[in-house]
Amino acid sequence: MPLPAWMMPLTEDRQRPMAKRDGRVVCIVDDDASLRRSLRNLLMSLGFRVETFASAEAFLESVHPDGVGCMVLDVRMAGMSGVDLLRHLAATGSPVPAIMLTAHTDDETRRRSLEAGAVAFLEKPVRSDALLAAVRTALSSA
Amino acid sequence: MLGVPFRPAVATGGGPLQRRVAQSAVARYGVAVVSVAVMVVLGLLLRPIVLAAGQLLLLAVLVTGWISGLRPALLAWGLATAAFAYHFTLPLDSVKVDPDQVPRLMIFALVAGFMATMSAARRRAEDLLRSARDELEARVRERTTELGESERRYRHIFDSTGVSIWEEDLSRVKQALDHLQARGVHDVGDYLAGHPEFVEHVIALVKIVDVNDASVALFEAGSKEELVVSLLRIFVPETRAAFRKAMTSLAEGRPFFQGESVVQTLKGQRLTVLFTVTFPRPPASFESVLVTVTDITDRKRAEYLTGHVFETSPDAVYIVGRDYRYQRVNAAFERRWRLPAQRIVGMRVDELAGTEPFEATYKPHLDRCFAGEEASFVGWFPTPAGRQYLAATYSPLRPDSQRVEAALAITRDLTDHARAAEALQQAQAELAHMTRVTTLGEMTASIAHEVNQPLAAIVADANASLNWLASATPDLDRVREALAAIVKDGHRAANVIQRIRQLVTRTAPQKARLDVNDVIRDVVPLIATEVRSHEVSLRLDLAVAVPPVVADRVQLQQVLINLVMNGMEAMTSIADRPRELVIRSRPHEGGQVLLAVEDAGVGIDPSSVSRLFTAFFTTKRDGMGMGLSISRSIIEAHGGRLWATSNARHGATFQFALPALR
Repeated sequence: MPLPAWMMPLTEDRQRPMAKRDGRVVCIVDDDASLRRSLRNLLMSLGFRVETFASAEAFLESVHPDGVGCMVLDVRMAGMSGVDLLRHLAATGSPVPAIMLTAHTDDETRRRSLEAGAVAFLEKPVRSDALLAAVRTALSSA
Repeated sequence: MLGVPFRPAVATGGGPLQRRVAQSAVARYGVAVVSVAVMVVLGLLLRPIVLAAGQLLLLAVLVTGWISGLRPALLAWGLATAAFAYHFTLPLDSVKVDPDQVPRLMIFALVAGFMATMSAARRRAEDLLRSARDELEARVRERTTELGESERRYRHIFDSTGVSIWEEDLSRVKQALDHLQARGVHDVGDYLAGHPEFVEHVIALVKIVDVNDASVALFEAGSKEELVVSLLRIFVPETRAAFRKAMTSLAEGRPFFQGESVVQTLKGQRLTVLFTVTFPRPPASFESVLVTVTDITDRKRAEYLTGHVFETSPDAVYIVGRDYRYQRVNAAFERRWRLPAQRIVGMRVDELAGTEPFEATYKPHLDRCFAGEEASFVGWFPTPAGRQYLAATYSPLRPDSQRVEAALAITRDLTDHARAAEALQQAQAELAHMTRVTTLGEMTASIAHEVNQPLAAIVADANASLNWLASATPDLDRVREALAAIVKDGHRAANVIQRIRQLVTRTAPQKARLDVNDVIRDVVPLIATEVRSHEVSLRLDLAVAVPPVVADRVQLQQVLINLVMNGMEAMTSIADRPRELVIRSRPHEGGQVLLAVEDAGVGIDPSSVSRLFTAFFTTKRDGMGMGLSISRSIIEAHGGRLWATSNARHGATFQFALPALR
């Protein structure tokens, strides 16, 4: 049985080495270790520089937002949520373009995320091409 | 009654003078000397007038003989004859006696001697008579005392015995019955049965002489006088039948009658009594016939009740001897085995109930019972009415001795109860399943997330691996690493799905040996997302060594999920303190294992604490109110206890204790 389309690798991008891409860092903030690690693998395989954080608080403590190209954020996390982080960054004058990940989409969360400045809202498991497109959009909007 | 009049003893014996004199020989002989001396002096005074005054000396002899007996009388005779010869024969005052005076002297001596012997003889006769009378009087006294004692003893028995005794004068009754027989009536019983008016007549002829204190008490009379008025006062219609039988016995000359009947007290209380009549043997008098009345009301009632309970009990009641043979069975037992009692009695238990149940169950319990123990058992047993669930109790019967002679068995048919209990258990299992499914339904988003997370990681890792493999110089180490992660995440997803399937699959409860810590660890992955989404921090505080329990794993998981969900929901509105949920396991008092879920939520509203565990009670907007109720019934079905307490500072602790496996 063939794999569904969203599980197929992104052949057109595969050839592009990481160095040729945007030099800025993609930050992944997710409290699930497996997801953190696998998203890092995926983005690295697509040639991005990646840093991972287990919580919004950990991100705020260790990174200055100005050096961040974009963020891949889990909506629901223990402690500060993804939306809260987004709002916090906007409120402190350092908005970062963000791609929101969620297990299930509900319109309310999507609306609140987009209001807070999210550039994309993706459902898990995330499609490789959709993530690549979203990251590109985010980086270009930065 | 026996009233022999008692005559008090009176002083007996002769005159006072005689008794005093009789006591001493000196006095007795003194009487002779003195009386002769007195008569001599008297005679001498009268001698100048008449010489015959000397004959007064005869009086001295007479008196002495009368007072002192023969020998003093002979002394008096000698003295009197000498004095007569000296003073009253010529010549006077001389020992000489004229020859012509000799006849006179001899006549005097003869008369005096005769008087002495006569007087003494009379005296002796009087003495004999007197002593005979004294002896008689003494005997009478003795006899009277004996009779008095006998009478006293009889009175004592009559009055102090606990049995009611009636002394009745049946002489007129006897006459009437004799008259009846003289008129040619042979079958008195038959006649009495046919002539109630004659019976009433005979009752009226009975004269109650006396009753004892026990009768007064038994018949609730104020005094004996109230009771002796008439037999009619204690008779009820049933009493007349027994009275007729007693009268028939009397007419037929039997010595004794005993019968049971009903009488009434003076206050109208009915008594069942046993009465006995001892008839005198003709020609003895019928003036004093004793009738005893024994109250057997309680005994009869007990007999009736025992018999009634035995026969009408819905439980099968039977007695089995040491030879394992039925001795007595009741109606319920006959119905169970569809055989009449006559057929069953004498059969061996195995012949009726089957060899296998007999050897496996009946016999071991009967043997324990014969050894003196009470034995009980329950189980399914084949009967002609099909398989029955019977609960039996065997009690040792020791009718006379210490040795158990038989077993009293009471068996109750609990088939319907057993079936109902099975149905109830099934219904409970179904309800538990339903609420499990409902709970999982409420947790769908969390569970989806729990499955989705590893799936998302798998997809991302797989894509990354494909990307790496597509490069000119594939980094195989990274690919290998990612593939290992894929395997791990695949297992993680499968694990969650398997646990959910356990909860959703409808299976009969299966109890197995479990470690409650394992149950807690099984539940954690299912609730992890829910915990995160409620922004709750979950802490496990598990005892290192808890004894195992025997329980159904799925049901315990269900209870734990319920308690965790409740705890988290209780903390939804809490913003001023950490939302911490602790799951704790501990060995518990009394060989139990405790599992507690402690929250820091709003706590238990005192007004609803009593309803917390009742079905359909909920404080949640969309709750069914089944969770805690089902949880409690699950824990109780495991022989445990589920309860809630308020915490010292915040929130509540819901906990359950289960018996540990020994």
